[in-house]
Amino acid sequence: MNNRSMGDAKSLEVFGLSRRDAAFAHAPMLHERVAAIYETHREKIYGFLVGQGLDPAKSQELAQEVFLRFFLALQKGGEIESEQAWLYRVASNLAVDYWRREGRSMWVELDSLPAVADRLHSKDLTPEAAAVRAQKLKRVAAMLARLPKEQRLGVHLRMQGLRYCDIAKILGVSVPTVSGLLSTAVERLRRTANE
Amino acid sequence: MNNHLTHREMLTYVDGELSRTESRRVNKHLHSCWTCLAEMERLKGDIAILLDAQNEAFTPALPPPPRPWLGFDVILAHNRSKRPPSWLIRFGGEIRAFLSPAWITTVSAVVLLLVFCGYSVFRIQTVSAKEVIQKIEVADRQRRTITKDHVIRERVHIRKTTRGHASLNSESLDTWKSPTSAYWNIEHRDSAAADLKAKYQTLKIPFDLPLSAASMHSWEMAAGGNPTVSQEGPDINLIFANAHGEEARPVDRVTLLIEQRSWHVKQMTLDFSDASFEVTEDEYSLVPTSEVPPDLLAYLQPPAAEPAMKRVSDIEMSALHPPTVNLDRVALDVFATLHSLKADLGEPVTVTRSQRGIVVGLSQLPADRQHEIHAALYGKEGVQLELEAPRASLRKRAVASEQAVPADSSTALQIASQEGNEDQRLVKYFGTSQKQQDFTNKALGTSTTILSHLYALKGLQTQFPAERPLTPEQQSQLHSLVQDHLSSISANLNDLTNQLASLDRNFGVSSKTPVTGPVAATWQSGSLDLLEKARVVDHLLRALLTTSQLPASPESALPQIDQNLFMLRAELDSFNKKDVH
Repeated sequence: MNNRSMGDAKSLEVFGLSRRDAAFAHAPMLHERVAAIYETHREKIYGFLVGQGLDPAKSQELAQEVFLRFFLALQKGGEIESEQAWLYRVASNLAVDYWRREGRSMWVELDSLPAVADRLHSKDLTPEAAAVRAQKLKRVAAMLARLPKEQRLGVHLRMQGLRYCDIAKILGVSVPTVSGLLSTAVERLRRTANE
Repeated sequence: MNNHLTHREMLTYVDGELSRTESRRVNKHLHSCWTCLAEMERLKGDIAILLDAQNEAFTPALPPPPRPWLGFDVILAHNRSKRPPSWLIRFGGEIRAFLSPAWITTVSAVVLLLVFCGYSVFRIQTVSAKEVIQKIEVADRQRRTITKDHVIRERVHIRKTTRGHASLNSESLDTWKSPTSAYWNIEHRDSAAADLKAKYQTLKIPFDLPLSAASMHSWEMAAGGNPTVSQEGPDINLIFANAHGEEARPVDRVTLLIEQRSWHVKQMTLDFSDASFEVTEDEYSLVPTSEVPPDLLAYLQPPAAEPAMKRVSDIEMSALHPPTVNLDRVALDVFATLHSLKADLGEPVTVTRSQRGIVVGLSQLPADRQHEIHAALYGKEGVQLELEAPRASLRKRAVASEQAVPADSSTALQIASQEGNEDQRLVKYFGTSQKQQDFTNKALGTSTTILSHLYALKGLQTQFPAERPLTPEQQSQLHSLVQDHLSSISANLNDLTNQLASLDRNFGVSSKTPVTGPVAATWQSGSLDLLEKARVVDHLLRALLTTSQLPASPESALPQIDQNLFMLRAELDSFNKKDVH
């Protein structure tokens, strides 16, 4: 070894951790993260599925399936832009698959109306106005439960912020058809509200 | 007015699903038809009723879950045990019903033999570039597993071909590697090896054994593009090349020749625009340290030096060895480096602490930017770079959710909507739509810059809460970073205030006595408040100046913007007085 070559050695550097090492360090985070999301959103996804006419036991089973799929999708490195939209989209697809297998209309069975009335709260309203508002909300909720399943799903997905094109993909129809479904559903609900 | 809007048109308009042309037509109609305008308002009111009915009556009336919820761990475990058998197993089960055990055994043996033969013949066609890279990494890791009593010597032959010249320059080069350092023994300045080394230095490629997996990854990043793999006799060719149509890369093409039996890289060819280097392995050996020249050994295994970035096995990663580095110092160094590259200003770079050091996530960045930051952070003690994105979506979503304005923001955000009118008044004020666009771009650009500095401050606040003890030197470094951000925020606040002054005058927004709020004790506690106010300002600006879903009138938005800017200014000034310590 001569002196000149040792001088060159000043620029030598030391190698660090590999990319695999770095990725491995985050492996437990995914599991914990999805478990936390599951805790937060499972009731909502369950409610969404029951709200589409699926029986409670099936809805609970499918809700758990949604989060399992979410975990597997992330594990495979899938791109998920919006976590909430993704969950509702998959839940909707599962509901639609279920409808197709069952092949029947699905009305939603709501609990008795007094239970609904107990939960209503109206701020800054006179007792009479609050009662009128409660009746109105109950009528609309009952009509929502009796809507054809595609209309009901469309309304629920729109309430979750999905665009018409996303709803169209889930229902397997065109965007103008979604527009028509939503328009019809909203008009029916409005008429019920203003009866 | 005839030809009123249909209910469907109104709903589609409210949902923002009409085409631009249709939307303009509906907007124009609403300006001239009170009937439709009133109906539109009723529709919006009824939509609110639908939402209330959903939330207050429909959802609470749904039956509760019939069973207690399973834990997520249980679901995962259940899924593994209940996963349906593969189609092969199911098929096996079907034919088992009418085949004897002897038949099954014979058929299985024949199938296995065929599969094995087919695999042997066609396996290179089925192996992907990713798998080849993984196999190279595994083989390389095994070869490099050495004790402190040995170092590795890799003797390579380098052939340099200069483009446009017939000359060929070649020589042998000894390279050395210990667990902590690497060394190239270059004998002559004017040689192929020296030229290759110059390429490494120019491109900031870290030195290692030339044919190691680490070198391969460095050149892979420099070349970019998707790797391709092909068979070349008994060996495999792995090529990293810039795809056609992409921007120029520092190296045009990297070709690796891999021995399929051992998955060892035998040869690497680097094609640059001006020259090509072919590096072939002549000899690879483990040399006892007793046989290494003392001066070289002193370099490779410095007695007092700690390994800067230790390559650890997976077992060691399970935190059997606690970190020996000072994470605060490393984190400050990382933030300072990122700040010098402006990578802390709105770019999707994450900085987190792990048991082993500071993890810098670069997976969301384009390859060029990754390479730049990688080079800047390379070799820093205790820094781990995350370049791949197995869970990129989560991080992306996390960043997106952080930047969204919360619906229940504690800061008052009241937008008075007067659809359609403001746009015309603003166009009238600015004279032309181009001038309005320029103003909007400038104001929103300034607001975005303020936000990006505040997000950077939030990052610092997360890593260095007020109660964290720091050495005077670390405090000074942190102070310098924070002060830099605060100065930039202050300058941009002035710009934004000046930009909006003429709008205030034109729309008669009087400068009422601004309301001052409580001032935070430290920059750490105040930075979140500053961020909240800046987000409100940004939101209001967008409502005022862009085609927002919630358009705002100047009379409503400007006073709120001014108020928030004033409070931002007051809080910034208070930090400056306290000297942000």
